[in-house]
Amino acid sequence: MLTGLGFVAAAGIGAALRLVAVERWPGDHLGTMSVNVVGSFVLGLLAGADPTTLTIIGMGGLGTFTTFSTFAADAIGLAGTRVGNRRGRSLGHVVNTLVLGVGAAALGLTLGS
Amino acid sequence: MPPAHRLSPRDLFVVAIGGVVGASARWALLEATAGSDGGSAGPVLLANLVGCGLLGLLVGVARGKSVGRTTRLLVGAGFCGGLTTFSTFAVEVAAALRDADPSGAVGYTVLSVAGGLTVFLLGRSIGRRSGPDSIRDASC
Repeated sequence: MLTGLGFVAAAGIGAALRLVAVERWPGDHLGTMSVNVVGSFVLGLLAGADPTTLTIIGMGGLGTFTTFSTFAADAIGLAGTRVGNRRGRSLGHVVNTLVLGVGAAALGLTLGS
Repeated sequence: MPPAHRLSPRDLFVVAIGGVVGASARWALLEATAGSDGGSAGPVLLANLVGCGLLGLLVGVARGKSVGRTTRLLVGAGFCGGLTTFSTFAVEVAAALRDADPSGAVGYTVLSVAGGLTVFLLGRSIGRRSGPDSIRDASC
């Protein structure tokens, strides 16, 4: 019950914080990328935590703070912009997000263990 | 996309509601598959693909018709953002690399990214067809 309430609170805060970060950042795909990289790092740090913390902070808070759907939408959106090398920008965004996100998660896993 | 709106407390509330519902659906999916082998990778992949498709649908519909800011915040940034997650995906991939399973890491990444982009495009084209207008503009 308390875990459920904690999950709901953490998820609500995670979603609101993501919106703040994304809307304040110039060029919103960079905001989403930053959110995803930071969230991946912190989840890596927490990987060894107890199940309740993982459910509330990990799955609820960080799981909701980070997003895969907006990442996909940004990648497709960049391919449709009329500025510069469209495919290159889109592919670059995907590669940057993957490398930085997985790298941050790996760093978190290492520091947290 | 026009210059960023100033976020109101109402915007944050709306996105939080959508986020909680999406995250709860992701949690339910994880619970429903708990105990089956593969841990959280399968259900998280499923949540990510469904969320990408739904967001594509919303973006496609929004192209032709007027979809209000509240709907976009509730369903797009809120529900789809909460249902999908990047952090669990990244930690799964990093853990696979750490455990010397590069093929698992690459396979999961390719499934997630290629699958997510494909499903997003599929959703968007279905959404566009449901709208009366087909003006080309790829930003959402």
